[in-house]
Amino acid sequence: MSARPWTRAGRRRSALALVAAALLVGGLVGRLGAGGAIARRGDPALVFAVLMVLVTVGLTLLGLLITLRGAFGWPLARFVLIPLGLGRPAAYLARHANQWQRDPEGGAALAEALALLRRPRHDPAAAERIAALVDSVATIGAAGITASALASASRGDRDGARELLLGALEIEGTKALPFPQRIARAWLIADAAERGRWRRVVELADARGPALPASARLLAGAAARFAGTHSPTDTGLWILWLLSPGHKDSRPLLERAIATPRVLHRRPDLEEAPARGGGVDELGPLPSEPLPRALALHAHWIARDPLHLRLVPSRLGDLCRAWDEVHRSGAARRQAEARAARLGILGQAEAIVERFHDEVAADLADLSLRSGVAIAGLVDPPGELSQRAIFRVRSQLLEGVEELAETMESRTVDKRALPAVEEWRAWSELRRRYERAGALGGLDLRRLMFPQVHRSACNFAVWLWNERKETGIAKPIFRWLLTEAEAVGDEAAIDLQRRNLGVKGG
Amino acid sequence: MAATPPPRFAHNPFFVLGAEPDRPRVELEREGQKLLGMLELGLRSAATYATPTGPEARTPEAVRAALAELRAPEKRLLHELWASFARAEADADASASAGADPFRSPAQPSAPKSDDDEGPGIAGAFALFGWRRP
Repeated sequence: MSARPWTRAGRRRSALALVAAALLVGGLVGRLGAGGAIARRGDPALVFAVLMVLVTVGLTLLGLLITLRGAFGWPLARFVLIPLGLGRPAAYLARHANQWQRDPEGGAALAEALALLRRPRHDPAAAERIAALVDSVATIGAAGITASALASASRGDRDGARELLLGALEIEGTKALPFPQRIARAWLIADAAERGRWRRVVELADARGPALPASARLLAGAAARFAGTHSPTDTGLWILWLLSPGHKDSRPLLERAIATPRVLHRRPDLEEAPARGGGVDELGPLPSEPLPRALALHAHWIARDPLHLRLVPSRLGDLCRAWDEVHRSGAARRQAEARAARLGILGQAEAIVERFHDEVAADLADLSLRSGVAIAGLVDPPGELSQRAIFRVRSQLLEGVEELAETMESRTVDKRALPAVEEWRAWSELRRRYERAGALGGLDLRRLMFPQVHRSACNFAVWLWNERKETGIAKPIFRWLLTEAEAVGDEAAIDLQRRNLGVKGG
Repeated sequence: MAATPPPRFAHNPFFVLGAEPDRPRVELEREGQKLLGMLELGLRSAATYATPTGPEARTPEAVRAALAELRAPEKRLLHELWASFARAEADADASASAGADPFRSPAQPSAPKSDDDEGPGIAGAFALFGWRRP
């Protein structure tokens, strides 16, 4: 079953139907009750007067109900129906609630999504209703994006949900309602807490935005303890715990937080100063010859899991330097030539060594991409194999970004529209890939990528804004483009994006 | 992010056969046939082989593939370069701390904390909000 979009015409029709129903009820009551007795006495004026009174009472009652539904519908949905997992009635009340006047469909979708998260299992029918509601929205806002994200989370797509919720926090304009952004932030905090990303919890809690639920504040307080940042006192944690619901569930968290010593000053960022060569020391004694040494390091790091937690810059730097030394000293070449002579393929030794070096560079690039550690800047000056790895990383990153930007551009040109949430997802994917590439490739790569990304994303956002009226998601795109244009120093893009934001209400 | 060791270590024919890279081809063939026989008999000592990235299961197919790879001299040379660990091991054995394995750190390296590694998370974080865990 798909949900009906609640348009203005639909509302008018419903209101007329309700008035007609009231008249009918009033009439019936009049006919069956006192009106019937009076009518039998044969006084038409009196009959009319009584009917009018009854109709007036009916209309008043109806108006009162509508007012109550508008004023108390959302609290009823939020505090009773959603906790019970009753999505449909909660969505109905949310749609007519005063709180969601600016985004009734988004509110309904969010109510249904929150109820879905309360149910013991995922309900595909409810997820379909949410999708239909979100699709019916003329201009998507934070509520619609949050509802879609929660439906994704319910389905098990946690990464997708995280990405969309981060997007919901960026929505601007009239549809940037506080409640969905509060829910988005709370979900992201729970997600980060479950993964032990305490600093991220603190960041999310400290970010500007609507007030957080009590449970999120408790998580943030505990996270501050675990992350070694400025944190509440033990009494403060007790108060946060008392204010939050579900005391039994949150008691272990409270005890763990209290057992963690409180620090008054932030710990130094441990990522800043991993001792150079520290990784090598942990490997135990390494061979002194360049090739076996590089291979020993290579084999050690290629199999680490999870790599992104272990291969810190100094360690990747050690590995790159070890391979550069192999190339510089000609160790692999000498060994290959000696063995090639014995195998009777001396003429092919050069090509085989080149292939070996290429494979090494490919592995270094792979390690860099998997660990998120940039090679550029680690080795100064970079040797031949480091250079090759840097080139490979840049090419792969550039290709990934260009591919998405081209897809976006061709869709914009062909006007192949997707549902608004999917448009946001597409943009988020491009931006995430661009930012990751920028983090690994540095400012040079950002300058290289930006013109194409700017062209594709700007046209895309203009299309969203002008033709599809999706101002809520177009504006954050303009804002991101402006920030990035300023970072890479693209004057024309800065001008254009300032005009876009200025002219269009920025 | 799962570690995906490239097959050049895990499937290196020299590691599959458990042979030194500079062994003559005849010896490698003999070693391969011996392993195939052992695998046929189901001997446990032949069921796995050590590589720098950890033990791997040895199958008759892997042994035959390794032998086939080593029959082409140019492929063999490339595999030899990747399997130059024998020398590394010898160097390590000769070093003061004998017995240390250069391929394996004595313990998992204690990586500096990153944003992703700040400690064990809270299992029921979503339950605090009354939400089902994704």
